[in-house]
Amino acid sequence: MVLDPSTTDLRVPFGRPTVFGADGVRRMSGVWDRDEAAVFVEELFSKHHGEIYAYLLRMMRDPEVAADMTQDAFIKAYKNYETLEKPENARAWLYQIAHRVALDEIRRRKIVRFLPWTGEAKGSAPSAEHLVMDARLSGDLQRALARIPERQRAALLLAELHDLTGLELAAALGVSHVAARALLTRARESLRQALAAEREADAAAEAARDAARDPGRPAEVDR
Amino acid sequence: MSRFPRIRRRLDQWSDTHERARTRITERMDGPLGLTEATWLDEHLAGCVACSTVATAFEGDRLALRGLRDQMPEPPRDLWARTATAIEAESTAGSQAASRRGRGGLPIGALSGLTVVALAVGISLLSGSISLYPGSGAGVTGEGSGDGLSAATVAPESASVEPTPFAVGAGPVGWIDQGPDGGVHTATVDEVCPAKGAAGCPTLEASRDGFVAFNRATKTIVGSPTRRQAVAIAKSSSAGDEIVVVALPEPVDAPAPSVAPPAETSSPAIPSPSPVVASSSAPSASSATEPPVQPSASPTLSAEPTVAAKVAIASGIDVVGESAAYSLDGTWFAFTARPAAGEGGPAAGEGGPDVYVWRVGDEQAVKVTDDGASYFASWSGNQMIASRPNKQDSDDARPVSVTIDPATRVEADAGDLWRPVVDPTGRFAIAWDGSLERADADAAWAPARGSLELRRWTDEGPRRATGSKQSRVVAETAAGDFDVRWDEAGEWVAVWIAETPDSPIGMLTLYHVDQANVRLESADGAPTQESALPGFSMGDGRLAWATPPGESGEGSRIQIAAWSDSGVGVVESGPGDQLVVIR
Repeated sequence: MVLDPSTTDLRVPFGRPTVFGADGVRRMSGVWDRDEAAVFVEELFSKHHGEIYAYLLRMMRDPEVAADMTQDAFIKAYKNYETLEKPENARAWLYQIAHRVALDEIRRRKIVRFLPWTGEAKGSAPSAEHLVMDARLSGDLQRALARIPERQRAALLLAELHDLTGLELAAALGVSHVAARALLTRARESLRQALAAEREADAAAEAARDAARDPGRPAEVDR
Repeated sequence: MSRFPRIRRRLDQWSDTHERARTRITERMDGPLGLTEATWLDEHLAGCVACSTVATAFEGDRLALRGLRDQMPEPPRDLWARTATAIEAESTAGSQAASRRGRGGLPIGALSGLTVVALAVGISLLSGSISLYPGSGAGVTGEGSGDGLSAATVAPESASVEPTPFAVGAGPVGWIDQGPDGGVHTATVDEVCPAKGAAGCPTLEASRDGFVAFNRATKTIVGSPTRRQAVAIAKSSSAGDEIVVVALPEPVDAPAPSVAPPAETSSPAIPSPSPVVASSSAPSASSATEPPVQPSASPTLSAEPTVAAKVAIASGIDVVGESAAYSLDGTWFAFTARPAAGEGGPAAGEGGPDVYVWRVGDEQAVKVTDDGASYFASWSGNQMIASRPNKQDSDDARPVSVTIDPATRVEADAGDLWRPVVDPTGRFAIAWDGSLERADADAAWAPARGSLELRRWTDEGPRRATGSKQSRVVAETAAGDFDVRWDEAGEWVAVWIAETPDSPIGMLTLYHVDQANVRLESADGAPTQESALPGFSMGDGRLAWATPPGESGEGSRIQIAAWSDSGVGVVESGPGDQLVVIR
């Protein structure tokens, strides 16, 4: 039987009863059942690893790092299994873990800088996989996303690409519903401005290329 | 999990109707508006081409974003194999540890020690502070859990992991609340909690020391290091900012933080009546002898204000940035300002910034540079440090810094960094190392390419950078404003960087400084990339800042991070109205 951790009633999830109250909230028994957690995380992985990887890739723009962080997120889910109160929150809970993993890594890069903060892969030569991914993600939109603050980027990605609802978004971001909406509002405005800047830069570059091809014609930039 | 009822944001708090409209446009994308706001928005959009264009752009951006759903990347095929192996290793290690614990009885002391470790690990896990990546710093901590909802829906039962408040010896923190019941508040910070916002954490309780007639648009208050006095800067009229000296009321005894669950109340607890009450509308008897003060006019008295009366020290200028500061001995106050942009002011692109200084007790601040491109950076001993571009006729300039004697105005070279903020011991600075570019239209200069980084500092200026760049760089972009503040010993430093060039909100991070190796370090529990309003207070073992107000009316809160040998912890106030930390 394949269980869907995002929708399945987990009161008897894997042959081992879990204590739930009448409100559907799991009561902590104080015993951390490793087998139960492992099975649960395996099911969670089968259901959600693709979207978690996609989210982390768009946050980090590096497939190798995104894969490592996806692995990290599921290990953290395993370790923190007992903190999941309601099974219907499993997906938002997982996004919250992934979001924190991403922010930790971004901060670590900014603070400790083991890796260059350019979104490039480690090492001197990017892998073929990275080049392919970079080409796929190199549009105006992705560059604009990369320009806005990471918490705003996360809010936009989770809301628009990953379809998290208001409460799920707040849970994933680890903030109140009000704060999540405020963050999303700022994110939309930042993205609008960043996209405008990208398009203006594109237009300038195009005008410069035209001028180089035809030196006699004055460069024009659409604004 | 808000501990206080939300305070509705008043409609008249919008800076203009377009800001209100754009906020409502985005809010409506995420859910229906109330009838009143929806009607208002529709009417506004019908008559405002600019906002209507923005609304179309928002929708276009949303569609473009959703278009990315068709480009879902494929994860590596071996991802589950790698993850399963790691989980198995975790499980084995955990089982062995449990087995070891179960084999023999442990004395109570050891058990309590284990409890402490378990709590620490639990909190650490919850905050996401453990990273599995090679080379990751153990001290890099996770995001604060923020208020409420995540704890309510995701966190475990409160009985399973509770933060343990610990004692700190931090100094008092002052701030003003500009709401109807506002005033000057002071709080002492004796206890903090390692997990912000968690149940059982101490609540910051403050005394209200008195009402001072601040302008409601006060944006900055800088307290004197030696007297109960402050310089307050408020956005005023087209005639320029209001820059006044105010006397601060003496603090009443602030209560110690309480670990009891906070009561549901509409405002922070005020334990005792205010001992000093005086306002501009109802001056006290003691203020009756003071001459009337016109905020924007040149004062005719020496700058010795009372709690009821304030004294203007400059007029016709707009203060720039957040670097305004008293000298260490409290005898001078320096800031950056440009001619007011109002009617009769300079044209766009003209009237750049210069450095001003006010000697405490003088009637007026005076301008000490005259190139329209100088910024006050910080104090180094009794010398001001100012920065300016090496050429003004280029969009790609390099910075030069000088020391300026505030009394003689003699300048001396201080290196080629931009706005070095020197620590009070004069040994370190954080500054922008890189090029500058003109900001749009307002004759301002901003960092372009380079990095905001830690340097060793001497009386002659910065030393050459040494050691690993990774460990000294704060950020590689600082297109907006930045603000740096040190503690008294140069061991801790907090850096605020605006989210975007025009954003009133920035991200605040607290670092520990490895002075021997000139490295920035991250401490467990230290605020990292916290959303903060401009202007924060640093020193006396604590960092204090105001959080941005939330939409739909949630007020700002004062948050304080304090440190001791036990680590860094946080405590926060209830919401308030237009809070400004006295720094």
